[in-house]
Amino acid sequence: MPLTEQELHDQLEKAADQALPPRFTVADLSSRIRRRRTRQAAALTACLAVVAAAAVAIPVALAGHAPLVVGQPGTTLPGSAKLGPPRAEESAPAPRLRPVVFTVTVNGQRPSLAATAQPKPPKGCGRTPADPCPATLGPGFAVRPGERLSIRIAVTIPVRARIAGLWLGISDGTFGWNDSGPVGLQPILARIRSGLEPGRRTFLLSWTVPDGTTAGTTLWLAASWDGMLPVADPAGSHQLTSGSFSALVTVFVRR
Amino acid sequence: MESWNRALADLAGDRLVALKRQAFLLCGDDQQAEDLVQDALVRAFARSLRAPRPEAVEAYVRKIMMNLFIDRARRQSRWNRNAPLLADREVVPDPADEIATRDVIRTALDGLSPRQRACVIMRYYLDLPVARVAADLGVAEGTVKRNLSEAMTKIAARLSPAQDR
Repeated sequence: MPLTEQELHDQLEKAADQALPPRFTVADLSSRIRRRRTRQAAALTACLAVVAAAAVAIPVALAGHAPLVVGQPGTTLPGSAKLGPPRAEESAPAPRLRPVVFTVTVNGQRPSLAATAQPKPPKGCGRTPADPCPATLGPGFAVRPGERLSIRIAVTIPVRARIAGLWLGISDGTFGWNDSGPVGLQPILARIRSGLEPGRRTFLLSWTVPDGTTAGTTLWLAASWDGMLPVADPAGSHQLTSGSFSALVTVFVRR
Repeated sequence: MESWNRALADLAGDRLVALKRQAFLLCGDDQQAEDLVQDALVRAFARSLRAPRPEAVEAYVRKIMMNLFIDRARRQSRWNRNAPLLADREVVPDPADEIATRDVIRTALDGLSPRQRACVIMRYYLDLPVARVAADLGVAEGTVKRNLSEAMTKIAARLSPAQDR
């Protein structure tokens, strides 16, 4: 005789009647559930902490490989006068330009200028992309009109760099470049067009602050050069740099 | 009182016995059924991000219970395949004792695979439609129908001699 669904249902009901009532209590179950929820919340918190740490660490790690802009046209800041030996971050394996390093002393002293004595940015700067304002005025000297300055500039050219020309002079903040060379250096205190090999060169210059210079004027001892800088990648490839302008130190004219 | 705690209290007040009966039919053993219901309830209410809706708590717990049962039976079958290598040959249960202590339908259910057993209980004890059974077990409707057909054949074969007697 075939088994009908209703017969099966009835037999299952009878079998289920043999089950004893539950012996556990809701309180037992609640405490067990609460413990498990606590464990899950702790695990979730730990996961979120790991994700947050990764979200912070990965961009920071990637940012450490960003290309260095020192030596690019129009991006060098007056602080470049403080550039000394290559820093640790500059020797990182990522492709980076090794900069031309300038070390300046004036009258036998390294540039120093109190923050409270920082002069204002030059007038008219920032009107065109070729005429950017310095982000900060950086280290410098306070001079008087008519004062004679003995300037010593040590230039360190990195290995595999090719410097075709170098100009050192005084700038009033007008930075630029044309086919014949830099624009805005007046006067030009030194001009080298024979090309410079990698290594260290020292230039001894002198300049007298013009008598007619008004107090409060800000000038810059600046360097301009063109050539190619090496990229610090394993292949040692070079990156062409058409021209670069570096304001080395600030010269603040006071009374 | 937390919302999950309130839902658990409501469920325990009304439907705990029903869940225990279903678990008993699945496991065929009262202690295992007790454990199965508790584990299913803990799993259902311990999920802070996927708390069941109040109107669907029982169905949610039942679904977890069925899947837990199938998972455990699968693990148990793996153990059973290896158990004869470890068992003492001298200790063999007497089949007569087993028959004496169980009724016919429970013996018939024991002859089914875990999935067939779950399908039979959901379809013929809980009177759920085939589509719902398939959804709860995560299989196709055709699979459920095939399991039900095979299960009915096995149960009928088991029950017929008993009824003839």
